[in-house]
Amino acid sequence: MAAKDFYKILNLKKSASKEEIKKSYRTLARKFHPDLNPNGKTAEEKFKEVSEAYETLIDDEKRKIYDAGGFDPSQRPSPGGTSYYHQTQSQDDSRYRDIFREAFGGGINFEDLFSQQERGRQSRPLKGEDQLFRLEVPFKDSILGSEQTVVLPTGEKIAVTIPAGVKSGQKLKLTGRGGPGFNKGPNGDLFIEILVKDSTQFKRLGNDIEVEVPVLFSVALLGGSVRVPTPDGQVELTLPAGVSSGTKMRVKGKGVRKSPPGDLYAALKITVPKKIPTDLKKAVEDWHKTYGEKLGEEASK
Amino acid sequence: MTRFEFHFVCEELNLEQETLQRWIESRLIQPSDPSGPFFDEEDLSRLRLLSDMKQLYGTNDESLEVLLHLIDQIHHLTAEIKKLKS
Repeated sequence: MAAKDFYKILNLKKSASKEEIKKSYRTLARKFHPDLNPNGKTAEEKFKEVSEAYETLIDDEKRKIYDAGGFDPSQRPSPGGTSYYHQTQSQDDSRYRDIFREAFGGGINFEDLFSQQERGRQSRPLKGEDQLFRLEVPFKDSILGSEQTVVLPTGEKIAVTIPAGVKSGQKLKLTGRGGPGFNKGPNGDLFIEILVKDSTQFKRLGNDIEVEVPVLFSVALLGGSVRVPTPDGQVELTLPAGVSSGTKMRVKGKGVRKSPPGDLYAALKITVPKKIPTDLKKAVEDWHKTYGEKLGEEASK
Repeated sequence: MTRFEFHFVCEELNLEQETLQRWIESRLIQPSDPSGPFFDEEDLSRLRLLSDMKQLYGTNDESLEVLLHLIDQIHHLTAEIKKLKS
């Protein structure tokens, strides 16, 4: 009986066809090729084993002898030139390596390269590493500007001025607050990336902001004052008589507080109460019959 | 040093003569003794790799040139690093 089970080595059944042998050999040989696994001794042994099994099983005559148990592959004389490429290339007098070196003007002088770097590292002052942090800012702060205290991973607390008008993605630079320098080099810089939280109430449009303001229909009809929210408290706004939904009233200087400041726009939304008193209903009906129908027709033209 | 003759190499590596001739012409292989040509152990190891690449991976000549060039670079760099370490 042969010393090694070639079928097992190639993961094959005894009845395997030539195609199956070829396929299995190719898969395994690709996996274990010694020049692609130059440091793996197991890969090399496995590759040799797989090749040996393949050479025997692919040859009808050798396979017949092997199946009959009459062929001990370990006794086979080894053919000339059994080294793998990585083995001949690791020798000092490799020709192909020299050909490569000649073709590329002497290759790379690593000795020079490394010693230069080493010298550089020892004496040249180097700037420290730049660092980046992210900071979430309330909408209000992005309009008005603010002072925030940020705690760095080192435990250090620093005051950061959030400028009015800051937008998401903008980075604030704090010079010299990053990683420490080398060889008396300057510290790196600290960058703080701002992420502005959206507001459910306000919408930002450049330096202006917009807010929806509900107005009771009677105020819209007769004129009067409404309260308008701004990022720093409410203001009172006087409406003229007869304003419509969607009208935008400007509140000067209540937008982004930079120089010059942006404005706030109050988008009016007329509201009507669900329960309307009978006398009011009657009055509106009369008015509608006299003027409203005609006006409604004109409006829909 | 053992030297291997053209036909022996073709048979040993199961290579067609035309293929070996083409690799010599494109300088993928530079026989140690071009007069025969005769190949030494190093040539043979390189030929074995070329032949495996062709047969196992289906690599064509153009790709072989690129791959061998990269592999040669790795060996060159490995040798340089070894020299530095010693």
